[in-house]
Amino acid sequence: MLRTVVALTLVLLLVAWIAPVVGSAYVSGPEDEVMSALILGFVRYAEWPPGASPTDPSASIAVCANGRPSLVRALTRTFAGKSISGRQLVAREVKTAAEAALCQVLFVSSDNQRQLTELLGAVQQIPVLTIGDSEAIFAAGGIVQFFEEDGKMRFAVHLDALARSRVSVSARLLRLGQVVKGKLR
Amino acid sequence: MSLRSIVPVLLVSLVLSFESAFAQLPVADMSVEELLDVQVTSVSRKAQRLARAPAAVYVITQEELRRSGVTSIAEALRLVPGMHVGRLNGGAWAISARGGAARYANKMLVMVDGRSVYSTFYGGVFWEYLDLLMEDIDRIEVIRGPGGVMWGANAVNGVVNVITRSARQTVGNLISVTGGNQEHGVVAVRHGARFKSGAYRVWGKSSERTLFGGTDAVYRQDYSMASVQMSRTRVNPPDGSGFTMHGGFRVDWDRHERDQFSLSGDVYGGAWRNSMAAVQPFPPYGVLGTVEDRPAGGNVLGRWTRTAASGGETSAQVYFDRFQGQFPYSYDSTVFNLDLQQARPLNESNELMWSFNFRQSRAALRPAFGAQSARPVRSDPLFSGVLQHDLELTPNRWYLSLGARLEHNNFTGFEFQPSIRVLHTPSRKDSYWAAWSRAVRTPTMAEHNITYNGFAGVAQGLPVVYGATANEAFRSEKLYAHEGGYRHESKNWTASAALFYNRYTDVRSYLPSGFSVQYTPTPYVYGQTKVWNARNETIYGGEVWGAWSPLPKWKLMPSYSWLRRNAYELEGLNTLKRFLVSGEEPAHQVRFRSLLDLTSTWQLDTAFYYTSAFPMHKIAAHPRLDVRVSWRPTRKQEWSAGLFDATEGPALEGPPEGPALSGQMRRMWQLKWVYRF
Repeated sequence: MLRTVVALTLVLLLVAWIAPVVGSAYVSGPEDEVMSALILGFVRYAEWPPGASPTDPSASIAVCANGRPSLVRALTRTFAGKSISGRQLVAREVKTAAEAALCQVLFVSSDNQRQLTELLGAVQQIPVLTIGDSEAIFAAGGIVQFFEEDGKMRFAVHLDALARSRVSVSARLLRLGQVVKGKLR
Repeated sequence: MSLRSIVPVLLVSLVLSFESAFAQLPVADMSVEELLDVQVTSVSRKAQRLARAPAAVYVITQEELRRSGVTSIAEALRLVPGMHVGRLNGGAWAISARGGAARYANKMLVMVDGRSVYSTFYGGVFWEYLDLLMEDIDRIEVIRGPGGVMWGANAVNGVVNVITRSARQTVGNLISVTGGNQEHGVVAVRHGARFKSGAYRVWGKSSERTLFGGTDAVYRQDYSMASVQMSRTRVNPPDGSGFTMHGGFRVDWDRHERDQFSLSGDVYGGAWRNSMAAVQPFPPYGVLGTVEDRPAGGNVLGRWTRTAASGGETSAQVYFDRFQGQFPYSYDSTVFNLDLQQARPLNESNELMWSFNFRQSRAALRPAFGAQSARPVRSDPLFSGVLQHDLELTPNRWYLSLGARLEHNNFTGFEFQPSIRVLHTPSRKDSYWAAWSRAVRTPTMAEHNITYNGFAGVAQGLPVVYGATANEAFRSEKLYAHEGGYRHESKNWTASAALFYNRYTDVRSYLPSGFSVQYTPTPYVYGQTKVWNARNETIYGGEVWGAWSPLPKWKLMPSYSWLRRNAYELEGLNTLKRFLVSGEEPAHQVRFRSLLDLTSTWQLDTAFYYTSAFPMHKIAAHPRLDVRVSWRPTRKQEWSAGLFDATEGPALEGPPEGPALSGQMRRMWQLKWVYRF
């Protein structure tokens, strides 16, 4: 028993010794990288109805995210040096409904249910491509769900929610995902 | 992230610089199709890197597990090239890589999320109590060959690392129901949900299994060489049937994104009937009986991992494990284990890893069936430390890994296990590796403490009974392993090959220490033997395996393995050797699997296995065909039907060991339904 106690004490001291040595910043996971690249794919294959953007056609395309800072960082990296038909791509972290309404693409993490309902409610009537990372996104009226299957990223698109948003997504892209239909919130 | 599971990554961290994991993958420039084919979970990233380790590694992915239709981890290991998996009864298997398959195969170390499930009391794994929810397993990493540096003693012929999914990957509810002629009912449920900084899951599984063939043929086989008349009572209910109930939880969360925490645990219990033969020195010499085992156990494990921006990682892991069982002897064990580990890149081409392990185990043993124990209760502390240095000798071409573990245990004192591994990657597609390692198998509590009787046959008209006496001077068995391999990865095919030459010294033998003729109750010869490190042996062989996708929806996976064991010494004791030599392995194994997507919702998966004979145990060669069809009408549910061992009638798959008998496998069918909501 005494030996056990001694060993444990040594171990705790060791932990205390290592802990400060280890670095700090955390690197975004591959999930974020793949999600960002998929979002870029969606932006490439999506069309927003004319007049939908609050500003002129040369304005940037705003891809916003809430509740997942690591995704915003990955998006920024993915968008670096890229533009689509002359429009700049901008990644932005959003917190409020007012900010969300200025986005073309809105990713909301389902970790915060209240925020999910609020942000998605705010963009329900305007053409914003809404994306979530759990099935809760559909319940809240969202359009695209990203999910993992067998370690690979998959997406599902709610066709009725997509139609309501007036954003159009190329059938070529839709074929690669799963399709969900059904009643809308 | 499992402490033990990150170890293989460290082992291959020398590959890092050219792989640099994900950062260098041009994800941003990929097409959507390509993106959907990228492995995203960090664990799979490890699996990818593992595929380039300087060792014979095979990773069973969740997809492979699902498509094999297996309901237990033991059965899943059939998917590994070169691995021998023989089902002995409803809940017992003889599993080993590179030789020595037996129920208590003592040279394979098996871990679940960094927790060892190798029993140091018997040497071996109780596969029947390793009944996890299959859908929550992320992958099973299997390394054929020694892993003493990374995993410690008893990782001699191979290491099996079962890694369950993070709770973040199992959000949602799941019900899985399986029924069939041998898997009478396997029901599993899981509930998973997120919370602010993490996720949790709780799960339960109950399994009822049996073995159809009974034990009749086994019995005859087992004792026929002595041509002794044995009572051939059929055992009813059949040998090796029973049920287990299992429940568990796992919570994963993080703090400031760099500290990952994980807490998991499970409890289980059940009842198993095992047939066994008790030996007596007069006709019918063996009495067949059924023993009911009511095992119970549980464990809890906590882990902290800190990831540094520099790529370094520090982790601490603690677990506590308790197990009680009655078969073949009554015992009760408790284990407390602590692991600390740190990997630090020193510069661009050097990485250093150290780890420390402390384990305190206590076991209480009550032998039965005439066996005796000198020290029925013992408490054993174990300490070990590891240092490993990975170097990139020339950029992207030559890598070297030097590692050693020094361990101190109560049975044999200090044990030193070094390893040298070299990897050469002339191109991104090809890699060559070679390794030299020393690994040890430490004595079990049984070898040091348990004395038992066995039946050897009839000599000069008199029955011969031998007594195997425990010996506290019995030392570790050593392995000096020489391995090499080649790997090629192309766009739609991969091929790997590995060769090994294993030299074992101080191998366990029961040496005769005297004969006497006993006259009560009837005359018989009693041969006293004692366990010693008295033999050397060599096992060598090779494995080739690959995967090829002729069409995007079709994958073929062939493999072939071959091995040879040198002639046993102890020829003079021919009749005894089956009892004295631990395990036997088939010389040739052929596998061929096909995974075919018929439509987007229908899949047809087939597997063919051929296992050559076990000459010493007189077990015939055995072909086996498994077929499975699955239908996924929606994302939420899957229906599947499987027919296993479709080719043949009753067949033995592996040799028995100890007092337990092995039974026959029969054609097995099952239906499975999985629903996620």
